[in-house]
Amino acid sequence: MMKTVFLHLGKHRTGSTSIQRFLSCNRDALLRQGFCVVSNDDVRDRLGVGYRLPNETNNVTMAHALLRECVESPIRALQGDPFDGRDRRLLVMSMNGLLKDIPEPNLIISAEAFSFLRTAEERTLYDMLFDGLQVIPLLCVREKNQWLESWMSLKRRIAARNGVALVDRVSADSPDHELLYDDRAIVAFFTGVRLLHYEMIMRTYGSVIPPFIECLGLNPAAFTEIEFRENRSPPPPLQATPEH
Amino acid sequence: MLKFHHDFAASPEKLVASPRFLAAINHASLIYASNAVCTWIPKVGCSSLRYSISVANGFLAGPENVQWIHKNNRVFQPTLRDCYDADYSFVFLRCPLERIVSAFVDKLVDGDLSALFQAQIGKLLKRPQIESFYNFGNFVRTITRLQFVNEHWQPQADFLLFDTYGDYFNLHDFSRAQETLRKKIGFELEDTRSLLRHDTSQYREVDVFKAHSLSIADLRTLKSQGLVPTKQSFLCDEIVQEVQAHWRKDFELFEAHCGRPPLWHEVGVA
Repeated sequence: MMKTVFLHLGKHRTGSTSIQRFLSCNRDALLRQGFCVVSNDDVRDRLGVGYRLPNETNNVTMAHALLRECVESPIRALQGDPFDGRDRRLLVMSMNGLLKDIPEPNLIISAEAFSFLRTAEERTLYDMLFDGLQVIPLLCVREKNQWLESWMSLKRRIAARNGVALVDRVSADSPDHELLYDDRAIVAFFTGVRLLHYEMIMRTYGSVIPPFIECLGLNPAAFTEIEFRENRSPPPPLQATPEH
Repeated sequence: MLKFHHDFAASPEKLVASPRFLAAINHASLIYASNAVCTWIPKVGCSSLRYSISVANGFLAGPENVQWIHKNNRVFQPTLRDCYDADYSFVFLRCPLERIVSAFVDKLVDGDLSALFQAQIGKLLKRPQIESFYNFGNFVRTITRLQFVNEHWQPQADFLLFDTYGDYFNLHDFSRAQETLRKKIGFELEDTRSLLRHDTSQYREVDVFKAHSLSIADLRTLKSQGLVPTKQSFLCDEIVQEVQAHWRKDFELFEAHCGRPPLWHEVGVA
């Protein structure tokens, strides 16, 4: 039977860090229910190259192996491009092997950077990555003005903390955040996206985690380690040196 | 043999004062060339039907005056004699679940909530920013519990004029209906959705978690991004139970002529 991949796409500033912390705290409980949380550390070890983050449930390495080089994502601004000169197709095939080797029938992969994917070339790599797997993409969207305010605030904090300038450059000819925000373009890139509406969820649940658990087909009441985290605190510090 | 719908003979009211009869006769049009009567039901492809009949009857030459149909709903209304003498009749039916979702998106999300509900829920409307919390679940409860009738969600069964129609078409199988009508009566049925933008065809449909809880304001935000929830996303057990109870006749009618509704939802299973 084909494995199912629940692919959490973010976006940034829609409760992603809460979800990734939930995944980290509940890794064993999820495993008991047949869900393996794919770890950024495992991917980096498999490839021998990649990004290092304090929260290993953010699969930045996997997402950036697909992502076109002109995108100046926060992690690239801080840690550079660890794949420089490497054959992306070989990296992606290696990651596909890793995913297929996992014995559990369900995989959970989370990385906001997946939401930056737009091009046909990226789609080819995406299809290679998930070849032989059934993917259910989960995307949390938010009202544009609130999202922009939160996104700009995050960038200012990262820039101040790390002494780097962050530019929303999502394609060579689009140095702004319009493409970054474009939910329709994200939905068009992925097949069969399930959308979570941030404002409705926060109004109804007060947290993105219970609906996320429901989207996995699980009962939120079965999990005790649910942290309610306000989307205001600064993100965890990033390590500035890529591992090669 | 009974020609007109059996409901009319059972009505205790005078025929000309019967809301059931008036709904039926006011939503029928005569197609002159083929001597055919069409029953067009609101939110069941009725703009396409009214436009195509206006073209067939020689009032419109093409899509440039398509808005004309909205001011002339009853211009081709048949007499009872026309109905009796008609050589052919047809009606389109739609999945009741899909129709109620479509009415909500079209009339409330794109339309004016206040104008529709002013008389029925005036007090509620005085609450500030109702559009920031009023959702599809509220809408279904409003119209089922307050028995609030509007033609856009009035049961499809209420519009039937004849006891039996020559053809009952499924709106979901529009192309088959086009072909049948062309062959049987030479009637060219055109799809006006792209002309009138009443529907959601210019948006990308996406599965949304519990779309029935999205407020009108949330839905407008999504639409501004070119996205609309799939109709299935609006359904949950509670809502389906309410709809199945309130529009029971429509489920029976649809199933009798078109089979299992596309959005059929086994409560507790989906």
